[in-house]
Amino acid sequence: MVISGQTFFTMMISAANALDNDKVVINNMNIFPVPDGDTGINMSLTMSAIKILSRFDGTIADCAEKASGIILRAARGNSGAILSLFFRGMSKSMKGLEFAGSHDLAAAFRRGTTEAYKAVMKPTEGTILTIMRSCAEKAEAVADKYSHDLVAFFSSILRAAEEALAKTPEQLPVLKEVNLVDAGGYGFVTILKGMLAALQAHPIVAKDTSSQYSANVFEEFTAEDIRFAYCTECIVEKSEEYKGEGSADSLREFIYGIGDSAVFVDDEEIIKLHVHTNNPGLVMEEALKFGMLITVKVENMRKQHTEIIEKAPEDSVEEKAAISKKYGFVSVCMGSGISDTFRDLGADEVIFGGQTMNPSTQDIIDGIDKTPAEHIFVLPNNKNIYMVAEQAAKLITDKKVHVLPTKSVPQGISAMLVFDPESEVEDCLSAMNEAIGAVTSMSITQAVRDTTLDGEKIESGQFLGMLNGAIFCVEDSIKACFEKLSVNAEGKTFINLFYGEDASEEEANEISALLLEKADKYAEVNVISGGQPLYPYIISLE
Amino acid sequence: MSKYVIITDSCTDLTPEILDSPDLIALQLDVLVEGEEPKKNRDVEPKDFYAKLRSKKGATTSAVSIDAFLEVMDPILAEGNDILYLGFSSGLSGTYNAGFIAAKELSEKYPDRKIYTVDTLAASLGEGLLIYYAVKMREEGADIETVRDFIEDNKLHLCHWFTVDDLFFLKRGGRVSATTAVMGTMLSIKPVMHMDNKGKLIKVTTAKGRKASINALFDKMKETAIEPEKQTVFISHGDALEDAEYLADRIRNELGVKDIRIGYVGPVIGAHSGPGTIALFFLGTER
Repeated sequence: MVISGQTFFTMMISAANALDNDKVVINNMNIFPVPDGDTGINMSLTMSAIKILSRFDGTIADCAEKASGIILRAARGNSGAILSLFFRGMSKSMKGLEFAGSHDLAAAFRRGTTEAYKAVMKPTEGTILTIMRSCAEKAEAVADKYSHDLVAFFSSILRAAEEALAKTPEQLPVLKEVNLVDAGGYGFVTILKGMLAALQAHPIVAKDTSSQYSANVFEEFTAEDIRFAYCTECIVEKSEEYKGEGSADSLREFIYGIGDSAVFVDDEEIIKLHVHTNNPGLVMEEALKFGMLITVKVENMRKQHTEIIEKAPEDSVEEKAAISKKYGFVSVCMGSGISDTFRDLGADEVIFGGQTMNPSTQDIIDGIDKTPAEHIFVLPNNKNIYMVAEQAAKLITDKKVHVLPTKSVPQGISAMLVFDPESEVEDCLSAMNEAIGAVTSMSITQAVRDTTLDGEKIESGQFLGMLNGAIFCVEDSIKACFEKLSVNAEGKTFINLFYGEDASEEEANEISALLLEKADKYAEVNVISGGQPLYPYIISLE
Repeated sequence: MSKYVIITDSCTDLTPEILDSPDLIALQLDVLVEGEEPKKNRDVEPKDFYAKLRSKKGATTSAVSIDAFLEVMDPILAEGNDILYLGFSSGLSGTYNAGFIAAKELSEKYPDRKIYTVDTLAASLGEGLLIYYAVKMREEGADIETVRDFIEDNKLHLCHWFTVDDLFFLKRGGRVSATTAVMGTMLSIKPVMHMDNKGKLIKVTTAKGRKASINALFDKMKETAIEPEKQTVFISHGDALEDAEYLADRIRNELGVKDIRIGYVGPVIGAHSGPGTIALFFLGTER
């Protein structure tokens, strides 16, 4: 018994749907009590990209190659990156095959697992990698026995995967503590379930998952890759008192603060504005203060999302910029103020993404393509974006791309601060790497549910004081967090404090005073409205 | 030995106590504030002037003309006196060149008189510090050649280290290369600059924060100053007295110099360096 390209394609689509249907469940398997690095969304978006192919009739080798190429570019987050490499390995293994039998599939599982392991610098057991390996081992073991029954073959692989998943809490103490299995591993099991269902001629179809969102404690943060739902545009005819250029600065500020992708034209007679926001009504209300609304357009981008996915990839090819300078920077971050800071430091492209929304390989490729430099430094600024950035770098052939291991915004900023455009690339890299290692990153975030981490009980609503990516303290108030965190300001001379969309400037100033007290006598603090979600404070200390 | 007059220009930013020395003449460059009549440097009140710059008013300057030099120099020579002209950096203004041409012309007219010109390649109180030394030497009886040679020998030891709050002014006036940029103004990244051996303004490095930029000036002095305990050090500021005093205190406490004098960056220079400029001048191993 063999699988054709068409069947394999159906299996992949079914797997993508299965993931899509279960993404909220997977998101919730988050050890960290903060809605970040959503594994479900990342894996689902990574797999769903293949839906741009509506059908497939070629060989299994072609199908695997095509699908893995798309998945590779759509990969988001570390789980997405690992998944995409698994499929790429499968595709390499199936090269030249018209159909695949059990031995071919076993070899593909093995190759996929090998490729996935290679992608991770320090592979950890008890994760998606372990599940993949268990599948490969089982497939090899039963390939002979079930060479005439691929359903049985796949069923036994799935069972092996489920057994391995059930053991993950034993392998990873952090999982055991919160009594969860590994989310990425769970996602992989879901994929296998979807594949098996298709093989049994009952492929999984996509459910409308919107009802799950409202029940979800993370609310808007799990809702697809579009953080701001409404594309809002209006043209305002200025009333008499506002005639003249540049009279609507306060509206401009308001527009830049209410969402993203803002475009604001302040002309003699009219104001033209475009913004992606969750509050189109507020935009109009504010605009009305400056005159009469001539046209108004509001579109729901979440609805459009499906159409965009169905679009052929040729349509979304971004323009490539001709090389006009030696060095360029592509940075990933969230929050308008942080993004402005990166631009001010010389970043050519700033990609929206961070804790709650990891950009895809393609997003980073687009940023690189738009940057007209020979050498491009990519700053992922998040540990869950680094792998995808590396993947993007490998897909670029016409420029030299260097991904810097920045795990936080402060690390990204410090790297840019030491950049010297006159230096050779090796010197730039070593200076930036040194700066990344030297900076202290602090942040505050709030738990959205009860959990236990490192033996410490954390209650929903408590604040987590983070130091260099690890929990430093858990307190009932932000102030209390900083009273403990501020020890780490000792001897520091240069402090940048970004307050988020949920924090006030007043409190930010109080905190900066607290830090200054502990810092070096020559220390200076910049207090900047970062506008980032979820993290009321992100602070760099040098 | 005949008497000699020291001629300089209004870019020295010296205070009247030195400028009013006998036989010292400072030719005045013009300052033109947007929407106002041109004024001589000395007639512009610095505090006022900086307030205008801060309120985004434009300001330009114009060099001293050859004619103006001839007018001042001719009568001095006619009376039988010699001239030592110590001019503002030719890297920043055409004033020195005008003075040089005037001197050339007059040396033909007065072949028996000595007219020496020195391009100090210095500015603000850096040029001022050279004038200060020249006047002191003359008071102590040094002849014109001795003073000229001292200035020539020491001008490239006269270190100018400075920081500006905003490069905008230097760029607007074309006093730094158009490619000079400071990334990270949102994070208060400041340029640390100096005047090079060609009398031009160069960004050497950047500092993280205003205070750090001022401390960087101190560090440069600590690195290169020759016998600081014997030196008189000048600091000029673009209406930022507190910062100038902070720098002076650090130098006094940690390097122990003989004397420190603080003064405004005058309008002619200030029009190009802008409010918030802090500049430190001292004798060092090299610029």
